[in-house]
Amino acid sequence: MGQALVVGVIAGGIYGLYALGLVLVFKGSGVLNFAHAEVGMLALLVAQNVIVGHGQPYLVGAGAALLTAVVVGVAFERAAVWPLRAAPRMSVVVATIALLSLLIAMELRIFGGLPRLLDPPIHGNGITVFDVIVSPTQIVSLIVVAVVGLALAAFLRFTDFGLSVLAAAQDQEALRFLGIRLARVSIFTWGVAAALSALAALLIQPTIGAIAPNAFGVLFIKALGAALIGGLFSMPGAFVGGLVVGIAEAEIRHATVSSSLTGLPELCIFGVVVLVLTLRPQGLLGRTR
Amino acid sequence: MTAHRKNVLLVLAFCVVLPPLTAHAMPRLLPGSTALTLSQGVSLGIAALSLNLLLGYAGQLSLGHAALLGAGAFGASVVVDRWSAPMFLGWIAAAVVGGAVALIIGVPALRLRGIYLALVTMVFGLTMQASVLRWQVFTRGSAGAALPRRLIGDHILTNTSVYLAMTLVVLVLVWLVDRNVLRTKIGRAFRMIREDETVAQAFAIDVTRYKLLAFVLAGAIAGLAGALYGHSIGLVNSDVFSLQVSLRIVLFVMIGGIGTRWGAVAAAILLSLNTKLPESLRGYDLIIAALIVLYNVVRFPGGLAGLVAHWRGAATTATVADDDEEVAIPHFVVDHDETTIATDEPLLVVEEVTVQFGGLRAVDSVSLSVRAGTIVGIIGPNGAGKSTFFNAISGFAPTSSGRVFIDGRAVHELPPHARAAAGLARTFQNVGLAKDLSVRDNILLAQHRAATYNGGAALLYTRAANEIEQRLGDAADAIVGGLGFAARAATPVRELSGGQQRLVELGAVLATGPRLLMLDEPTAGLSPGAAENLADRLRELRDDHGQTILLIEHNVPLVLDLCDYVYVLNAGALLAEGPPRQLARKPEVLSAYLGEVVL
Repeated sequence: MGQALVVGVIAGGIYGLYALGLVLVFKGSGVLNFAHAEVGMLALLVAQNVIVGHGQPYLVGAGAALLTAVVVGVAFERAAVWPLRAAPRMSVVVATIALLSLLIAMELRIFGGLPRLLDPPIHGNGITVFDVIVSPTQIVSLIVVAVVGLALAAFLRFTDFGLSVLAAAQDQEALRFLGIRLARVSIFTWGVAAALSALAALLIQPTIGAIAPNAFGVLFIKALGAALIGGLFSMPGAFVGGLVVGIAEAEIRHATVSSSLTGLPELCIFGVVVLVLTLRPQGLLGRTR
Repeated sequence: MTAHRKNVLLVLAFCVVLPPLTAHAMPRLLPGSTALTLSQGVSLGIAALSLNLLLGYAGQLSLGHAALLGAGAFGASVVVDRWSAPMFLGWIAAAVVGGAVALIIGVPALRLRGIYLALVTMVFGLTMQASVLRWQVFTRGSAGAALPRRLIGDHILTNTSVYLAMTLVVLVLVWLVDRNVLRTKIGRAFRMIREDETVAQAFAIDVTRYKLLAFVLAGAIAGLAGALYGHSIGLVNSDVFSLQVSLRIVLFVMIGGIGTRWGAVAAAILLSLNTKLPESLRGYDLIIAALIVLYNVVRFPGGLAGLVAHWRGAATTATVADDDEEVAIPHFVVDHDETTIATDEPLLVVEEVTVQFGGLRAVDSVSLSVRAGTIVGIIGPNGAGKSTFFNAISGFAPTSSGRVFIDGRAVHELPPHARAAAGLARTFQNVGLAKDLSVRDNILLAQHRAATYNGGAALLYTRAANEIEQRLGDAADAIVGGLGFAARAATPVRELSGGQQRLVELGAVLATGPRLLMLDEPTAGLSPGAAENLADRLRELRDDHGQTILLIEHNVPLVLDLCDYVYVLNAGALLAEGPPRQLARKPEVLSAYLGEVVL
């Protein structure tokens, strides 16, 4: 019980970070970004290549990963999201699906299909909580998640630009009359969401180990589950959803560890996603809009 | 020779000629490994046909097709490997399993559209790969399930060229089934659902049933494709059926042209040959394909329908003809001669219907009855609730209370498509047609109820189905000709002027063989001359064919002149009713509504 809770909170925070990016884009552009987790995957592969392939320090690799993600996010915003701002939302969704295909094809072409290894940035013994060894990396991860989440929330709440990002989700027309440059808001949204995906990918990597193709699809399910539970419009909700998914996953895995049926946590999350989408498409905690 | 017999002969010819032909020719042309690669390409081509049916015809995007392929492959493995049955039986099992799994995903899909449907199918595919497809009991886990190319007993097919020929035969079979779908009521219903689910219901199409059918058909074909794919690899585990495969199938369909059969198959086969490319070039094909799709999405921003329309060469430069053009209303061709006998019994009875939107009573306890063989009008100022009342009668607006009877039969609890099937046909203010389909296809579509053959007969295109289709086609030609659109039968409705579209809609609604014709502002957008002309035609329908008509109209003089009985609605409630002559003299009507017109 306690074990699963610790594992769940650590993973759940990172799912929350993923979900935050999904929610940000959904609020800003009214679109669920299918390529969201894959952007982080590409960034992680770049980091691995810089660190292991070129022998650079971890932080340089992490920087390269964030830069890659932001470039991809902003380039996609300029190439597809902005030109399609007046089009049906389904057009943009199909564009994100094309982006997902593109990213996977590029990863395969550049990095090949074999799993890649990356050592955690910090070595050491860690501390024991509820019989669980929490590694220094995981402690750092918890701190990073909390700091990034709070910093983003503060930025959106307390700066003029941040407020205009939040307002853009409400009424784009009104914003234009106030003289706010919607293009900047849109670029910011997609850039930050991409960076969040890269950050989450870097943080989750020590937990999943080898970086294999296909690994990030499952993360997308969890991020989506978190975002849906939180209500697609709520950023604090995304974190709550992340924790719910993380803890539920750990508990189910713990309870079914002896079962020969693999992937039961994923199956449960899928069930929740389908139920929420069919019964309450605005999200479990979301309000009707 | 009938189309049906042609089909059968074609398949037989393929089955007999293809395997020996390729068995001899292929080894000379290509090494054996190429034949296997090609057979994988053909299998994925069949998978692309499956998605093409779902996406291109019915407009439902699936991002989880790999899971359906996987379900089929593992199902086939159980039959062929564990039970040592011939692989043909495995293929049948694969289609059954694929169809069954698709049924499961189809049930939530009925409630979801667009983005959410794509999401659920993608999450479904990912979950299947992460979970069910890894289960030892079903798939032998990561070790993988074997799919020997077992002919019978211990005889295993070793000639890869013959196997390639077999996959080609299956491709031809699926192709023919697909073509049968498209040329029968099933394909028409799919396309109507893609265009507009509301209008589909007005044409008596059971949207729920047909969506489910689209999923099950696509699932069965995908399952079959999965088994064929598995047999050419020989050993499959869950990693074979990853999200990448689902996305690749989407790329095939989008590159080949959504809704274009040969394009999807060609893209699948060509892009599957990439493993034969030199190492330095490998992998770029999918990058380029993804970029092309991205480019197309940005260039043709109409959502899925926009992409479909683009591929069909329509709508991108929608050339809407001049609206002011004088439309001569033709004498409608009425195909059904079951002239309603005018009795004193009312055909339509509406009892105290109320429609409530939140706190607003859009329609407040309105009653109405329409005698057979009469024309009844509803008039009232804008916002009086006329269209909402129409929607309540035809089932498109939820009523909070009240009852509706057609010929004494209670229909107020039936869904719109069932009311349409009971003989209640209606037009829409913004023209209820599939605008990307041709004039003739729309008229064919309207005859959905007259296509009495069942689904199986449609898929096989049996002689009976063929005969009915011929008859419906002749009827459609007669109606199209009667409307004066013979030269433009193949023109997409979108490219006609507003008045012309209205005319085609009227023809289509009449083609449903309605007991009651409900017209929502039929003269809107028509010139005064054309409106007068239309009124004459409606009179003709009533007098010569006993057609019962209920209409909403703003043109008050025309209503008073045309109708046998008139209801006046104001602010959601019935203000007055009566024969036109009496009504025109009632002071409350004059002051509330007619005043401005008559005085």
